[in-house]
Amino acid sequence: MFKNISLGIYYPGNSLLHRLQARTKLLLLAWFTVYIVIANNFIWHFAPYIVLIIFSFIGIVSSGISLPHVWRRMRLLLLLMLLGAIPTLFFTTEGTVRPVYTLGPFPVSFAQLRWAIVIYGMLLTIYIALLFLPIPALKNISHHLWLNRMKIPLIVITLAIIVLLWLTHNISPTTTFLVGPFVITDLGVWSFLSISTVFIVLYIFSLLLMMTTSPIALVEGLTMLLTPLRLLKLPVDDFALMTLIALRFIPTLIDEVEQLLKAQTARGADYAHGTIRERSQSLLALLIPLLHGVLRRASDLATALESRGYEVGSQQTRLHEKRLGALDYSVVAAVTIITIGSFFV
Amino acid sequence: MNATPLIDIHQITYTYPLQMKANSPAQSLKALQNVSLQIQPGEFLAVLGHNGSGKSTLAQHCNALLIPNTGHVLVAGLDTSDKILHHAIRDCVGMIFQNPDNQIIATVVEDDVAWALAVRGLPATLIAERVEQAMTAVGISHLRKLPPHRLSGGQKQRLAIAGVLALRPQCIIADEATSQLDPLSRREITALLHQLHQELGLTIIQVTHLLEEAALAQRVIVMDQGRIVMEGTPSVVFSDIERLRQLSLAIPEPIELADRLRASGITISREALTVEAIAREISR
Amino acid sequence: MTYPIISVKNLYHTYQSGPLQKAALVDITMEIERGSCSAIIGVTGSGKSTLVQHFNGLLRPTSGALVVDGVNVKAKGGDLKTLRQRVGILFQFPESQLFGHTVYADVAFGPRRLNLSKSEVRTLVLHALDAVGLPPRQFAQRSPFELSGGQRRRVALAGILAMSPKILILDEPTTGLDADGRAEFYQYILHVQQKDAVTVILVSHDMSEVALLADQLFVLHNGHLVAQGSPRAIFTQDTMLHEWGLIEPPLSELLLLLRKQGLAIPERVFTLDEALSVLQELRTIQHERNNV
Repeated sequence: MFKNISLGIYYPGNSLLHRLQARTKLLLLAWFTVYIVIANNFIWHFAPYIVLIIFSFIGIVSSGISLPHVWRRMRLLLLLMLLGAIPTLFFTTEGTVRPVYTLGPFPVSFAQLRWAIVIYGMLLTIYIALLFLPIPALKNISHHLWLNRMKIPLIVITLAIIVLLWLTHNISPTTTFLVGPFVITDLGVWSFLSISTVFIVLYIFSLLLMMTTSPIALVEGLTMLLTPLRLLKLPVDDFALMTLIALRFIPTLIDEVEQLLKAQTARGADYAHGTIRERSQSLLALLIPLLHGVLRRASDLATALESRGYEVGSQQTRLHEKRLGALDYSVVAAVTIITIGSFFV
Repeated sequence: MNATPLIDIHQITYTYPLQMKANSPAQSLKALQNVSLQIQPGEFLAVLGHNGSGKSTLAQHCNALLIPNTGHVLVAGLDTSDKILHHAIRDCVGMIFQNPDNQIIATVVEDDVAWALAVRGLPATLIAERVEQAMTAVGISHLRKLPPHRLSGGQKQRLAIAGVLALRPQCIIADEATSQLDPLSRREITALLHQLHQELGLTIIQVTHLLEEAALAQRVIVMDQGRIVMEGTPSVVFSDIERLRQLSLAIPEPIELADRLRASGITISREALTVEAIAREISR
Repeated sequence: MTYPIISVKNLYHTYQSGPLQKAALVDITMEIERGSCSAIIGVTGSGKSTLVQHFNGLLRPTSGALVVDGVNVKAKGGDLKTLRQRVGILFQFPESQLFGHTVYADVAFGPRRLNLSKSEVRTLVLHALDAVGLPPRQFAQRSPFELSGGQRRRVALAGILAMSPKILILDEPTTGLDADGRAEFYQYILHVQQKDAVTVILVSHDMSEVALLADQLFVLHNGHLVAQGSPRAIFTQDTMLHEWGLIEPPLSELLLLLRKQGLAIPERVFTLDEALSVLQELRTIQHERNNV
């Protein structure tokens, strides 16, 4: 069943991006990162960001991968990014700023706070009742997964509230404290936009790299780029071999784990229920044979490789990366010219 | 007059290095005891023996994976104890192993066939040519872009053979290469080895515990406790069925049947070792 | 007619991985008799492992009815924990599943999960070790990783037997063993079947093994049950077997060839001794004819 999982997110194809060498794409990604860092120092300079956005669109179009595909992989990131970027919108108050919009401040009295806590307490009681009352009708509701998942966050919040209550118990209910003000400054807007753009664009570039380059080509390209490190006596070729072996054996090991899981479950191992001792024993029943199997494979593989003439530190012919072609050079040239030019606009 | 043997094994002894246990005396099991053997170029040899008889140990001496404690092994005149010669020795003698999975290194079939060549730094065009030839010779060209976990056991062993063939060796050793396969795949791999032997003139050493595989070889040696105890053509070696049984080898039923018929007076040629041959003999 | 211990009716099992659907088992209907030794044969991918994993609840049917020793294995619901104790599975290369620091600890893993007292567990473990020919006094305190491959395989078997299963499923139990190892293993299996009245189900692609041990064969091909019957009956259908990717045991192959070459060998002839006597008879008849 797991055999249908493809390794990574590589979609084979023949688009422009597919035809570029992995080295070129890696170098471009590295250059874009540097470019962004430099551009970040020029506040209010829009050109680089516009260039980045245009390039990401060109990239998606020239990769032959449909937009819905890309969108599907971006959803989670967008959510995380918003969570991270929104504070910059509201809290950038250092430096020379001009306020654009002000929210609040909101005066909140302790009485209101106490009421909020009481309501929370009631909800908590209902929640506990749902979980523990042996009424059959309620049992069905309590099987909802999210109710169980909320246990830990609820415990944390409850503890926090108890601490808060204890700290503030001798403050009179009419005292108010101010929440806010939330000031949206021009710098804040700028930071928000630039950070969001950088996030999205970098992610799209990395996604395009992974989607248009096979894992092996990536490893080879990376190894070739890291060749100078060999002069520092770093084991670059061995790194390539290690990555190759990992990529090769992941599906095989997945099968082995599946098989082990079945075998130990058939003997009564249970990873989710039972005492901690039982569960950890079940886990050991999985991990120890797995480790043995892996060591066995490593030993066999080493013998087989030795028999095929492998020697540590030998120089390997690259099977996937070919010479850089006209396409690679022209793309690199175009990108370099445009990005550097954007600094002067 | 014997031509120069391809592999010349002279009085070798070998013991696997065991860790010394704190309180017990060092116990060493001699895996090979005073073994001598000459393998001629172009020969198809079967090394027969039960688990632990030393056959794999012997095989691994033939491509310098193991170096004997005493005695010497010459492969095409090169002494295996000289580390510098190992590269040339392994170009000459290739090996495929028992576990089909644990000898495949690349993520894609054609990359694995090419791997040994890439490691030697050969130019890409030469590699592509040799890979094509090797894949065609074993019949896996149609699988070239598949990842190894999608291959059957028999296909994986064929891939391993292709990987060895790409180096243009003079000899291929199959170390229990069929033990983990189903009966049909076993026959296919054995047939492939014979095909390579005939068409390409390769020397083949098949290490096995199955008599039905050894029956097809030109010469058979039987091992037990680190020594060669029987040697000869299959018909000679198989004539002593009781001895083979004592050596913990399974006697295939047709061969046993032929033997018992012979004992009850019916003439069955000793050369008849395959099912077809035995059937023909009985029908006469 | 004894009540079958396993009853399968119109069983389907379909794998779902994303948009891909793979029909692993299609419309299987079969029955396995209590105390018998049955074998399920077929090439890799025919569905035999998938089928037997239903018998102890590791897999559930997508549709169809399956009753194992009185327990109804349904698509959803039902407690399968008791089933796992009654149906033991030994997977392929079981020696790679050992993990205990002593042989005793590994074999005791299963029984300990059955809520038994320490002495009950001890009895079960010792009994199981004896049943597989590993005397506890010699082997119980040793590390399983010191033992040979064949011995480790028997430790794994003991681990299953220690749970006193009523049904024992063996998935390719003798791959990689040499002649001695095989012969011993067969001994233990038959012993367990006869002495403890365990129903044995063998999954194998080794026809000689199956011919030797099984009373009843079930042939799977592409997820379908294409034939069932005694080994004697099945192994005479050589063309069908080849279509299903299987080859008959060497002796059956020989007998088929002889029949093709005109010798009058009755179909019921199957074992070595039977073949021997028939051929000797034929030779005597031929001699008499020549002398007439």
